Amino acid sequence: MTHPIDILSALLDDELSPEEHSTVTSHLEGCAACSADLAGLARVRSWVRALPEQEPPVPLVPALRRPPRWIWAAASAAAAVLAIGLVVSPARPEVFDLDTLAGQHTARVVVAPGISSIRGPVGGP
Amino acid sequence: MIRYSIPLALAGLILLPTATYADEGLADVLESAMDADFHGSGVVMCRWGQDSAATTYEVTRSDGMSMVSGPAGDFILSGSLIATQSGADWYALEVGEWSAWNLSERYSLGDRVATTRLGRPATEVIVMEGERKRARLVIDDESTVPLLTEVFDGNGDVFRFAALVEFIAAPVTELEMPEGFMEHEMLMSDVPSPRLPGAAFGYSRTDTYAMGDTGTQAFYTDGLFSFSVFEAGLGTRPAEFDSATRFEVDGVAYSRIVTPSNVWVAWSTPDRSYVLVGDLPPDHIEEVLRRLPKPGFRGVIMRLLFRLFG
Amino acid sequence: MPDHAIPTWEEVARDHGRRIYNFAYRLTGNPDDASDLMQEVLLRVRRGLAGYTPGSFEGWLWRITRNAFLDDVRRRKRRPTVALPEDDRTAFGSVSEPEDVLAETRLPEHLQQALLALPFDFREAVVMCDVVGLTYDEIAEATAIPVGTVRSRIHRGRKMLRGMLE
Repeated sequence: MTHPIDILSALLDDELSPEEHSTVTSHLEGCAACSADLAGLARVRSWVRALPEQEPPVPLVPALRRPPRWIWAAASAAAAVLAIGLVVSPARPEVFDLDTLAGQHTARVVVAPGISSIRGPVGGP
Repeated sequence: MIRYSIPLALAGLILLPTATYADEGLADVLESAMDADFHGSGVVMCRWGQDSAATTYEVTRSDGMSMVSGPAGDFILSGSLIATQSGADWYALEVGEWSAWNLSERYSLGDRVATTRLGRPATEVIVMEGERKRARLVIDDESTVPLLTEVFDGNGDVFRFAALVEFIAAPVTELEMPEGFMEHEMLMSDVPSPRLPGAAFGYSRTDTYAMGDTGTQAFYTDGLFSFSVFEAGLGTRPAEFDSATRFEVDGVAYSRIVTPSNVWVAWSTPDRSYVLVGDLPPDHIEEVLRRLPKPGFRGVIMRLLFRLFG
Repeated sequence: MPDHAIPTWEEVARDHGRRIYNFAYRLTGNPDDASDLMQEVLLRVRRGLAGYTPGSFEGWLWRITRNAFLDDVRRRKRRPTVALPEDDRTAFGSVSEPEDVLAETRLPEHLQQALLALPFDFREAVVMCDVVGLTYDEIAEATAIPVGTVRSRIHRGRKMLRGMLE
């Protein structure tokens, strides 16, 4: 039988219908591979669930007439990051490099059907 | 799914292909091809005039992720995130939004013929562009994966040819992420790009993204073929074009590079550099270039006049 | 809060502000962006409450939250996902339960970074499920996608995290 890989996460979140539930649990009884998968997924799930809850800043309630500091704060956050040098940015080639252009073009091509999406990006640019 | 209602008396006289998608239109064919899991290796070749390029490649699609290996490196795709390898570094990018897909009405399905390929039952499908034969696909019946794709130019000659030489449907191998974290950028659409048209020769500009800090990427598609036009300041032309083939459209000069999967065209106007990349055939490229900003001063003056008096 | 009641804006801020902030924090990896996003969401909630008709409050709230995030990305045209190093100990304030400390020390060091490496759709689904605690139906409503797609995104997101961290 095919392994019910895609519904293992739903099993952990208790989001299965009764029929799916019994199908999956009976499959797991006899399948070591899927049981191992389930254990791995459960581990990752527990990690994310154990991420410490953060304290929001005080006060929670924004002042009424102040314009959103949204844009300014974003700019200052970026500036702070650059100044401290904490950013480990991915190796970003020159903007007009054939590989970079190919990557950005391909990323958009493959999200929708088309003659090339079938095959995917092939052989570099 | 197109459903035919056939009078019972005639049913026996009509020969229908036995392929699973037999009654679906071209849109369904293209959509179905996106989903199936498989592993394969193949060849892809492209030719435009005297320029041609070919390569072998390997592709694995599994549970929503794809990995493509070729001589120029590897790509990993997951959803709309692409990670590419350049030397030892990985560079990742995510497309955050895109417009809904639409197939141009100029395309339709022509003849369908049952056949076999790689020992598997398949169906050969012709894509018509009006009266012209534009593409030929051979599609695996069981998985709906195209095993062979052939695109023709304006003269009916083969422009691009891609075929799998090895095919395994629904492989069990799971794809693994590369080591290290791919912190990446996410691109959103609707960046203004006033010099580029909203449509060109049946291609719609569906999305526009930022490219680097000062450039833009305008993405055009007709549902079957697509291309991006990258626009940036002068002096940003990729070095690969220095020795590229020059060609003319209406007496205006461009440079082109042919790679197995795409064709690249570069040119400059007095104030901008442009690079076009896509899988569209050469006759379409020429028509599209006519509708994009043109090299030389004439283009700038015409646009200015149009804006003042048009 | 019963679905038929229309909450006041202060109630929303008090009862949901924390969850909104944590959702934003795990999506962006960045306390400044998270706090700005939360402010923006609360502003939109305040404006929207006048026209809010009683229905699924959670779905409405999380729709506003994710749209605010995406609108910010759109405004910036590009959004780098970068995790600033976080000092998670400060999040606990004065007292940590021994179990919390134990769980904390067992978490992989780069969990937040790995989250940020996920495609947005997957990251959002995992954070909505495991950080905010929404059900698949609630996530489907907030993101306007079918439950089957929610299921698949959560599964793929977790699978990718596993691949990066194990």
